Amino acid sequence: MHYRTKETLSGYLSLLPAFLALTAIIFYPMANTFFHSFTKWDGATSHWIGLRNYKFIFTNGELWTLLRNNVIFLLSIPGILLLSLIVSVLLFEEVRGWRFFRSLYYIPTILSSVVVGLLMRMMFAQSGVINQFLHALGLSDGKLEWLSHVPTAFLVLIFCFYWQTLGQGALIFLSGLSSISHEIFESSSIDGANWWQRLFHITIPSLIPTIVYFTVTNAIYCFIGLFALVYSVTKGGPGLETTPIDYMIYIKAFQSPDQLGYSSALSIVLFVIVLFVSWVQLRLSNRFQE
Amino acid sequence: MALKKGWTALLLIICIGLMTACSSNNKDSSPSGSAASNDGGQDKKIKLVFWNTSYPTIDENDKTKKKEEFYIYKAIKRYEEAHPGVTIDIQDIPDGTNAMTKFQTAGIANNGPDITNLWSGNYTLDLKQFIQPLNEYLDQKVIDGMTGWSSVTENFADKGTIYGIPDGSDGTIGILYNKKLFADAGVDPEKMPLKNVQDFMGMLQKIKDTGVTPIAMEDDGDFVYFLDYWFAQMVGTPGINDIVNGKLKFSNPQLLEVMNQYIQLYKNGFVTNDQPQTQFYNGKVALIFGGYGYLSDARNALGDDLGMMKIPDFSESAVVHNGGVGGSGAGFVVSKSSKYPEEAVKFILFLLSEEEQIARFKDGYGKLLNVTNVEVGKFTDDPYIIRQQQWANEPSTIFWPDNIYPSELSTYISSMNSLVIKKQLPAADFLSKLDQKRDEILAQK
Repeated sequence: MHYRTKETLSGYLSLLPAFLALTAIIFYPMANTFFHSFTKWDGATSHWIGLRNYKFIFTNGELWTLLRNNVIFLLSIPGILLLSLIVSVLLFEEVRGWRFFRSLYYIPTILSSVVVGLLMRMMFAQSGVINQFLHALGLSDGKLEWLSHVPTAFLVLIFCFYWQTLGQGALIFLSGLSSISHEIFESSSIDGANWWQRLFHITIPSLIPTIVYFTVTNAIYCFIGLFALVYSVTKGGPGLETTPIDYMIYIKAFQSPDQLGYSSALSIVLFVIVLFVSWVQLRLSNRFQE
Repeated sequence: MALKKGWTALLLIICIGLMTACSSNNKDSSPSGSAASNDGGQDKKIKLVFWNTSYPTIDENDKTKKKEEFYIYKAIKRYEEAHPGVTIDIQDIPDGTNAMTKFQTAGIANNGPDITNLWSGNYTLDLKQFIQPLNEYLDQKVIDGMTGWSSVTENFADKGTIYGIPDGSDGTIGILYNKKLFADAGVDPEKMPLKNVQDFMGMLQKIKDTGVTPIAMEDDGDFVYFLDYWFAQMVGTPGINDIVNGKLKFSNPQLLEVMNQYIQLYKNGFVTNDQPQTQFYNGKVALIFGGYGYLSDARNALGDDLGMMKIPDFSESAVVHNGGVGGSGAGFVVSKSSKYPEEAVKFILFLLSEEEQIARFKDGYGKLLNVTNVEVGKFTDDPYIIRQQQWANEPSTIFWPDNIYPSELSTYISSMNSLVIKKQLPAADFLSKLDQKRDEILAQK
C-alpha cells in the first residue's frame, strides 16, 4: 500500500471511534427526535401525523410564554457579564484578599445546579434565612413568598444563575486578561488613565473574543441548560410562569402521556431557536470586532 | 511509526469492543434476567425486581432502624421462605409523578421492573402501553375479596381490562382540627354541623378573631384534597366524567361560584401556605385537610385535642352531600418488561392478602385496608381510624377526581391553582384555561 494511502487510512480509522460514538450519542438521537416530531408517540408505538405537533406548538399560545421566560434569562446575561468582568479585573489586579475571593467565587461553579437550587429554595422559603435577615433589618415583615410571585421567582432564579456562573465567568475573563500585555496597562497608568478608563478603553476592547465566547455559551445555556435549576427551585411555577422551553420538553415528554412526539417537535423548535440566536450573536460580534 | 499504529489498533479494538458491549442485546441485563432455570425446570430460580414507592424503609425519627425491621422487608422474607427459588429485589424509588416518569422511561427502554406501585386511575391507565394486563392472572374470588378495582380498570368500568391491583384505601379526605383552638373560638362543628360555605366562613372568622390562622394548605392550595371535592360535589361523578370528555365546561356558574368562595378564604386571611402540617401539629393553625394518612402524626402531636370532621358541603344544592374525596389512590402494576408476570401477581396478591394488609396496618402503614367486609375496629381502638374506614365505604366518598382527569390536566390544574391563590390569575380565567387545556388534550388524542 502506498505510504500516503496508509496515512489517509490511518487518519480515517483514528477518527472512526469518535465518529461512531458521536453517531450513537448525538446524530442518531437527533435524527430519531426529528423523525418522531412528525409522529404521535407514546414511547411504545408511534404513527405519522405530519405537521400536527408543530401546528399545536405554534397555535396553543404556550410557546410565547415559554419563549418570554427564556428571553428574560437571556436579558440577564449582560448583568453577569459585567459582574464577572469587574470581579476578574479586581482579581487580576490582585486586590487585598484576592486569593481568598478567587476560591470563594469559584466554589458555586463546582456545585451541581440541583444542589444550588435546593439550597436557594430553602433560603428563599417563607421561613428561610433571607426573610429572617430582611425582617431583622426591618426591610420586610419576614413573610415574603419569594417563589409564589412571578417577578420574585424570576429574581431568585436569576440570582441562582448569577451565583453559579460568576466563578466560571471570572475564570474565563482572568485567562483573557492574562493574554493582554502588561505594558499597555503600565503605559496607560503613566499617561494618567484611571481605573474606569483602563476598564472601558483597554480591558474590555482587548477582551472582545472572550466576551463573545462568554455571551454565546451563556445564551445557549439560557435555552438548554436551565432545566436543573428551574426543576429544583420553582418547578416552573407559579403556574407555568417561570417554565422555559427545556423544562416544558421534560413536562411534555415525561409527565404528559402520549406526548413524546409533541415533546420531540418542541425539541426541534428549540434547536432551531438556539441555532438562530447563536448565529445572530456571532454575526453581531464579528461586526463589532471589525 | 509502528508503535503509533499499534496504539491506534489497540484503541480501535477497545472502542469497538466497548461499543459492542454497550449495544449488544444482552438478555440477561434486564432486571429479571438473572432468573435461571435448569433443563428440567426443577429448582427454578426467579428474581422479581420491585420498585418500592410506598412502603417506608427509612424512619425519620430513628435513622438507626435497620431495614430488616421495616414491614416490607419482613413481608418479603416471609414470602421468600414460603416460595423457595423466588427472590424479591426491592429498590426504593421516589413516589408520585417521579415514579411515573421513571416507570415510563424504563418502559421505553424495555427494562422496567417486574412490580411497582403507581397512583391509580388515569395516572396508571395513561401508562398502559408499558403495563401488563392482569385479567388472566386474577380469579373472581380474588376480585371479590378486594375493593377499588374500577380505579385500575380501563375506563373505570366494573369489568374490562385490569391494569393493576388496588393497594389499600386512602380513606376519605376530611378536616383534621385542633379541638382546643376551636373551643377557644367558641366553635364546635360536632354540636353545630356546618351546612354550607357561609357557615364554614363564619366558623373560620371566629377562629381568626382569636388571633389564630384558621387553615394551613399546601403551596398548590390543596386542590386535590379540598377544592376538588367542592367541584365534584357540585357536579357529581358523572359531571366530572363529562368535564373530562368535554361535554361539560369547567367554566360554568356552579364551579365559578365555588372558585370565588375558595378565593374568598384567601382574601379573608384565613389561609397560610407555610409548612401546613408542621404548623398544625405545633398548634399554630386550627385545621388542615387530610385523611387517614395524617391521622397517626396528628394524633401523636395533638393527642386528645385532635378532632376530625368532613369537609362542609359547599351548598345545599350540591349533588353529593356529606362526602369527601378518597378511595384506592394507588395500585400495584406489573410491567410489560417482566418475564414472570404470573409470579409477580402472586407476590402482589400476597402483599395484599388480608393477613398481610392487617400486618402492615398494625405496623402503622399510611393506608387503610381494601379487603371486602373487613372490620378495622378489630385491630384498632382509635375512633377516628374506625370512622375513616366507615367513611371510605360510604357512597358519598367520591373517587379522587385528579385520578379521573387526564394526568396532564391534573398536573396543569395544580400548577395554575398556585397562581389563583396568590391572586395572579382570576377565577374565571383559571376555569377558561382549564377548558382550553382539556380541549387541547382531547384534540391531541
